[in-house]
Amino acid sequence: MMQRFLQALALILAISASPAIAQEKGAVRPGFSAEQLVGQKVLVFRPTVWVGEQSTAGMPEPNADWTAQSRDLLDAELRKQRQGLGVEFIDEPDSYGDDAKLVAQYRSLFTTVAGSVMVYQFFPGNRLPTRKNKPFEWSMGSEISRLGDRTGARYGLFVSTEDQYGSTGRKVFQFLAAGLVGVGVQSGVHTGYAGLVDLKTGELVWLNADGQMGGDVRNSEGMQKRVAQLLEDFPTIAKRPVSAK
Amino acid sequence: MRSPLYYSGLTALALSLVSTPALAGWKLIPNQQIATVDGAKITPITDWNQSGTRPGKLGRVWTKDGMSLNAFEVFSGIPHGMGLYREVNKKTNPMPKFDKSILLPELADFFERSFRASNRLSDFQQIKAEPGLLGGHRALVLRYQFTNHHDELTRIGEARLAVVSGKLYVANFHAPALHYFEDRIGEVRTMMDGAKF
Amino acid sequence: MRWITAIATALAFCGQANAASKSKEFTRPPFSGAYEPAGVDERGLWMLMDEEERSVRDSPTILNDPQLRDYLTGILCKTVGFDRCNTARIYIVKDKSFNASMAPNGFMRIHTGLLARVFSESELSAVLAHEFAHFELRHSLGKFRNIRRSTDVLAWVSLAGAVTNTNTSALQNSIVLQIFSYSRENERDADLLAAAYIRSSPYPMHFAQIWSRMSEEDNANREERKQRKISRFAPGPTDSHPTNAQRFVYLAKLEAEEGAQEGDDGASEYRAQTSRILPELYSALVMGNEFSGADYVIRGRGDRLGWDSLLLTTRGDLYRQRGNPRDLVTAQAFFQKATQDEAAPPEAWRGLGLTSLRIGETAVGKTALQQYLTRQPNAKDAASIKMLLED
Repeated sequence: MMQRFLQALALILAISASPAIAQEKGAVRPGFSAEQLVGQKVLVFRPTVWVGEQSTAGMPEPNADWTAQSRDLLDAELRKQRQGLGVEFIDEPDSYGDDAKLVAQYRSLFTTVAGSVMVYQFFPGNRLPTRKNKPFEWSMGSEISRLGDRTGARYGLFVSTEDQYGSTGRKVFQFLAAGLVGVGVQSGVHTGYAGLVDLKTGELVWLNADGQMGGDVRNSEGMQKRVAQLLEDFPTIAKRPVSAK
Repeated sequence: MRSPLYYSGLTALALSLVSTPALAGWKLIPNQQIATVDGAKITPITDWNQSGTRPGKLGRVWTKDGMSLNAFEVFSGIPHGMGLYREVNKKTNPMPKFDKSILLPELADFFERSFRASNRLSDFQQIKAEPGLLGGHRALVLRYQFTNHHDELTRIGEARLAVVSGKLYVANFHAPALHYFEDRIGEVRTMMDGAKF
Repeated sequence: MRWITAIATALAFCGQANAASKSKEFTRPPFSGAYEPAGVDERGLWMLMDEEERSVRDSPTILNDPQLRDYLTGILCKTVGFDRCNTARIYIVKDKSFNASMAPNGFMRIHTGLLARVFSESELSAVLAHEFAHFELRHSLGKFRNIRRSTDVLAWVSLAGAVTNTNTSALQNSIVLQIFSYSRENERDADLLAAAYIRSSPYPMHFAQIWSRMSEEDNANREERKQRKISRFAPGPTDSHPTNAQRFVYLAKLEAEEGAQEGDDGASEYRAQTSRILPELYSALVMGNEFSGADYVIRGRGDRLGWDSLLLTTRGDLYRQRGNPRDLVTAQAFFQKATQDEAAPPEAWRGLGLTSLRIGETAVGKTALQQYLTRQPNAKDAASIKMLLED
């Protein structure tokens, strides 16, 4: 009980100290523009998806059912919505052994880099002095070129989502915290990143990071909304329909 | 408080909310200027950021891009009987305590046990352990590798541990094996070589 | 389900009949080739699992050891029959917790923490049999076909008796005997089916003892930490599953039945196969900070499979890590015993050297360290060990 009280206290302090809880934000690397995608192939990596529940203590517990379903829905929805972007997308080819493991490591690296961008550059509350109000310049390292070599793709699209649904205990905590200060506490974590990487240089040329994503990823309507949010502001010269919000 | 590495960058946001960012307080460590870290003097070549949250009672941690991408820790003067990192759960996961009578090669094992406990690792390997220097003192230099289950990103580290007048001094750097370790290790080694305790 | 009832009846009668050869009395439930996806829904389901399996396959946390994997697959096949195990893929996960899980499309994950805590093929077989039984029951009950239900969609089966450091919640200090957490109706069916697998396999039934050892390991840690021990054989006021204790007794009764203990437990083969990769299984225990529990597990292996120089060295390293003055003396004794075997691992001389130096037996220590360097000139720590010799 003491632990929960302290957590509530910490959360309230945090909320009162940083009024702007994370929202969606996108950035483009200085010097990059949508024109550079014209005539280039974009390799679409398998999306990284994690879905689970939060226990009362806030620890994430994976739910294999939800994860598998969400991954499938995300993949299908991405295919649909990417068609409107006017870019030549190619799917990540099947790979095996060390090749496959390397791709998996790069996907993990993207998720980690995107998370750092979100926490340490984009959103107030925890920004690093070396990143705050500085240009958007992040890298995955130039060795990533090995991934583009086989397919002839110049760019790579990474998509990563994590959803922790609040368990009952967490929802109770949410209610309590709301009662104390009249502020809604977000139960769960709903984070998503979509990023474009220059596979020759390793530079991150576009990133969309959202710490409060909408859409329940366990069903197709929710996933439609989610993917629209992820691809918002994707650098494109094609005419785009107004995205669903 | 758990080590930030336990969580992927994705949950860093949720974590930062509960860890009271108002108190986390980043401090800029400007390049080419001597920084005083708990009595130790370290000169960075480029700009770094020091976290207001300590990794251990007598430690400080710097980062350039976020701890999950590069983390440089410095511990000064840990006495006999104290742990390296802060306790994760004193009852169920107690931190090993420094014993000043251990031999130089055993410093690697003490580091491994401490690091495993702090980051809750099942997968940790010592790659190489050899004598070297930390700020001019004889030290054990350990190269290691590890992976945690949440972000599944393999990381490499270099830790230097020295015992001076019965007290333990540690400098430790770890980063993803892809790009980020190699990107900074040159500068970090210079900082470790030039550190003054 | 008729064949399950048939097996149950057969088992019931067996207790009264005279003992007969195992293979004559029992046959496995008929295998209807039920693991092929049928229909659009299920095919989609398998594709989902294929993606999940892909990420498991490519994860850095998987132990890539084809020999070990083939060995474990062989045990699975002997347990559930070669027709069933033909398409099974086993992945060994580097994780210190006792756990194994099975996906609807037949891929299995087995943690190194589980392999460290069983001591024979029959014990591992029992774990796999219980898991497979739940898996097959879910399948034949058609739960797979309803993939839109949110609570029980893809029927993952997970067996976790977790003496785990990864459960950090203050609410989860005790062992979770998840095998007992299925609904009452499933438990009995699964037990009977698992028993049928094991009875028609070449293995004796060795299941209940695994769980009692898990309890003992947890209690050893509790005692060290001066925490209250948990008694798991008597249902207490807070026990929400009063059937746990009864079920344990029931399982033990199954094992006590005539003929249930017949067969070769494969202990010596298990010992040989796991000795080859022992550091992979035990380093998390030795380099962890649950001394009493780790010592309990290592002792369990030694008592059951014998104390060879490798295991003595492992135990020595555990004591050396805790490093109290008394521990160093104890460790030195383990290493000394280990080094009597000329074929002991080089680490035995390393341990003997380091503990002897710590105790003040410098000559003994330096000689042992020299031996270590001779036997393993490319040791990871050769340079720092050399420094000790120069002092």
